[in-house]
Amino acid sequence: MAQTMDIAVSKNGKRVLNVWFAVLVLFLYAPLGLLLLFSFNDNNLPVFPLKGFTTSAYEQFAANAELKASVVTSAKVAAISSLIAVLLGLLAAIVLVRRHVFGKSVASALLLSPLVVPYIALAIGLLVFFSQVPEWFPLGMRTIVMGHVVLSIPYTILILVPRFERLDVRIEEAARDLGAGAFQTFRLITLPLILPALVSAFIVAFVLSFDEIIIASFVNGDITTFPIYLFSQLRFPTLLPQVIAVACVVMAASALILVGAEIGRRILERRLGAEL
Amino acid sequence: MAVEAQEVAKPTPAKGVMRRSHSGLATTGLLAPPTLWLAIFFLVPVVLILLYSVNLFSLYPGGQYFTLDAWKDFLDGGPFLQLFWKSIWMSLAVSVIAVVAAYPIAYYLALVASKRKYVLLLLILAPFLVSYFLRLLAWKVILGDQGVINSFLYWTGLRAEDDPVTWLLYSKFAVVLTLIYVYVPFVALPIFASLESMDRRLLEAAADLGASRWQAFRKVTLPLSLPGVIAAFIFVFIPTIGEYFTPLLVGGVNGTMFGNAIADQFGQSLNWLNGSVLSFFLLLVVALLMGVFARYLTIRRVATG
Amino acid sequence: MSTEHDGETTKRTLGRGDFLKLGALTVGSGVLAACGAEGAPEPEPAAQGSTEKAEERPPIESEPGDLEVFEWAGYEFPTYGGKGGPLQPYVDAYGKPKYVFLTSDDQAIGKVRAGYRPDTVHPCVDYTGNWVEMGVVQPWDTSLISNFKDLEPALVKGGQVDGQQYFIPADWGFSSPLYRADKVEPDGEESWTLMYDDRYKGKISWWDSPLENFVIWGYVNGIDDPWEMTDDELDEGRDFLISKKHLCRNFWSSQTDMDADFAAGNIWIAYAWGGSYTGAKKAGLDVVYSDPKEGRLGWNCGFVLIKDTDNFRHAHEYVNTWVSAESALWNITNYAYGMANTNLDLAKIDPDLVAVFHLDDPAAREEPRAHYARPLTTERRAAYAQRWDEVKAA
Repeated sequence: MAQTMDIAVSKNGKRVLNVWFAVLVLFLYAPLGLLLLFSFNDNNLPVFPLKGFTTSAYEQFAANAELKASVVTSAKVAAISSLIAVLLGLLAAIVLVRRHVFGKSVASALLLSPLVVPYIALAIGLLVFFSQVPEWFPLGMRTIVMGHVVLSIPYTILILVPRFERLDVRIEEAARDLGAGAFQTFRLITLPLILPALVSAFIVAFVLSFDEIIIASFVNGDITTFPIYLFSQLRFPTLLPQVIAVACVVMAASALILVGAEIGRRILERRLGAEL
Repeated sequence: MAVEAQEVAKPTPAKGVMRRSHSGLATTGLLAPPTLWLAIFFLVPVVLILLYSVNLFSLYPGGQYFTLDAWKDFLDGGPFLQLFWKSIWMSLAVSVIAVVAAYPIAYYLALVASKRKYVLLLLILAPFLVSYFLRLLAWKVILGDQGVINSFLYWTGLRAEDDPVTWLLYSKFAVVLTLIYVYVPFVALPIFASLESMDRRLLEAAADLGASRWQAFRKVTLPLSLPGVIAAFIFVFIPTIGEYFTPLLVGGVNGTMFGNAIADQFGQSLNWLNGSVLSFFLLLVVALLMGVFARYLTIRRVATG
Repeated sequence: MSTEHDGETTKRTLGRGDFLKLGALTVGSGVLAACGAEGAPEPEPAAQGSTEKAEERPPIESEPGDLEVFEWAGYEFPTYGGKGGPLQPYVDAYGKPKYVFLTSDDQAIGKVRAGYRPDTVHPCVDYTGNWVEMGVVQPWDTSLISNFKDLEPALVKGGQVDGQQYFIPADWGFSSPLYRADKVEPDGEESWTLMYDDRYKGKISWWDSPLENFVIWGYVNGIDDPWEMTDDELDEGRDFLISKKHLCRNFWSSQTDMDADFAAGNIWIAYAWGGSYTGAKKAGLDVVYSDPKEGRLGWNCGFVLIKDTDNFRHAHEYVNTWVSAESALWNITNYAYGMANTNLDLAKIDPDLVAVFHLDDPAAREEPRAHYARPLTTERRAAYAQRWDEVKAA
């Protein structure tokens, strides 16, 4: 009996937590459900009462090359910038947690300060800077990535640092004592332990960049990201349904990824179970 | 194999020395890329804005001379300073509620959900891929005078149809609510990360020593998750002070925040001088706050060994 | 760093175009050069100056042709007009332009001010003064725009700064109070005072713009020139707006937002453009687009030409295509915006649109029944903006 008792949570506690989680999911998804509903509604504006079923928003989106290209661009920018941000955040987190360096507090203040700078100020500052040395920093996808990495670094650090703080150094030291090199230790011991945190950091950085408009709209050069397209077309409510359709397609895609991840986990589990 | 064995056989002190000298270089190597990146793409633009705020750098044809006038005007208790304090309060409300709401979620994911935890984590993060603007648009449909909530109230007869609850939308309430909506999953992340990496045997040990669940939580889990909680608080409190978008879309005439003033100065007022003063003020105040947080973090570390 | 930049700006103010012009005008060139550097008005007639300039321009074949248009999303080929639509001729002849999207007039100015350089931009007319003062634009050569003669003269005149055509008007529309006929009953004659009507507290929406709310107050109170108010007048207007602010549900910032609020019943009265009227109609609302006794306001947007563009002739060709009669018809039909091109076949347009926007009644589009926005100096805009900041922060 005592063995089956879970010290983390009682049965009732678990029920409460289940409900709380369900409430949060409802809270998070209610607006998305409405968007999905409105994307098939025969009205330019997202208002009740519903007027009739139509797929025209999706057809228009499918035919709108600029809009489609902007979604792809945003995905690319987000993927690249979050990869870089996670890498840089990882390096910083290792130092901040593990090493004693002179000026560490200054470094950590610098690393976290992008959290607080108003995006519009940073956007203008960046564009002014890039425009002074255009041959080094031609405006385009690369400059957006540079800006988005700045925004994401503090988030990746804030996610990774608590993970490192709880990581038992002795495990790594044991590996080193057993003859593993620094890199080998990292790859075989540290990395698997921090992988979940790395994935969290990547996701946060990705969504941050994917939806970012202010920096992007200043340093984009001739590149159009999805948020830029969205905000630029707000002059024309007739284009709104297409944009909502994009959101729904993105939603569907992430749902697919979610389901895929769950299936992958189960397959993996079964295989591991068989091995054991 | 032989080499490895030899290395293991080396006397410990020598190895310790070697590792230390090695790590000095390595540390610099590790810290250089992120700090350099920020020095170039963050510090340089910020310094440009600082110069702008004292008129030492200006993109309009005309005089460039050092002046603190814009700073003086701002600090002389103009409308913007008041707005700043209001924003601090709103951010504080948002942060506290968001952290309190997110803690059980993180706890659930880390300690209860077991195998499904990453999928569930993805589940609560996935909505972020949908443009925030569009999600706010949907929120307006929920909160509006003929929105989902008010329609429900009409239907139950709790409110007459010509008497909607108007403070649901275009109010401070709407701003706080939607900000919580945005930040709860974000806030859950760092808490989750710290809980997830907690050694569960500590809890078992506590149980073996006769601790109740509540005691185990209070004496073990909560203190161990504190770094995550603080990170979570920073996650939401600091960016929301400068929040611009949410108040713009659901704040109405009274829900505006400091970030809106900054955006307006750079935007429709085309007054970059004021805009940079406001931005820099925000940066300074928050840097100060972070200093306080950092001190608290080190004290905690000393206290817990 | 600062001085270096200062020098650069001065250089920009005296661009290549000005040097050519100065060279052409041999008489009193020294005096003119001094005036030009100060940005003082140049008395020469626009047409003459620009013809001379055009002759010195290389032919269109020798331009790179990679035209970059800083544009509103929705105005780009092929979303605007569709394949085979009004922009197709330009695309066939010179290829599809590169579109960079602006998100607002302020953002466009900020971006160019910070260093971005497209070939042509699509701002609104009241910002033309800012564009000119920034020293980043040059006058158009209207002789290269064959559709120019069909453009509404009042709008054409509105696009001139110091007698030069810096701005080619393209799309225009009215701004007027839009209200729900089933909920709102105007007090007597239709008037802008509906925006300040106590009876509809919490159901009114003003536009979040530093200019228009003061201009409206100005017309309501018989100010001499609401587009050039003195500081005292502005202070008075500010105090009045602060006293009425509590009546507003919000200050709307994008048309899409406002249309949605209108359709959702959150607001009944709003400062609105024509598209909002048609949008509300389509949503099945009983709305009136009023004709206030003080006159409607009129906005218009169009194109400015960036100084030193390598695609001088391409930009002219593109804008010429954009302001064509075919383009006008498409824009009116699809976005419910008016167009500066008056060469319209009204039979092809929805009669309701013709009536509401007075497309068949030129007098209704002129003073005193309509007041068009016009360029403001940077200094005046700042004065308006500062008061609007105070209204919003109050």
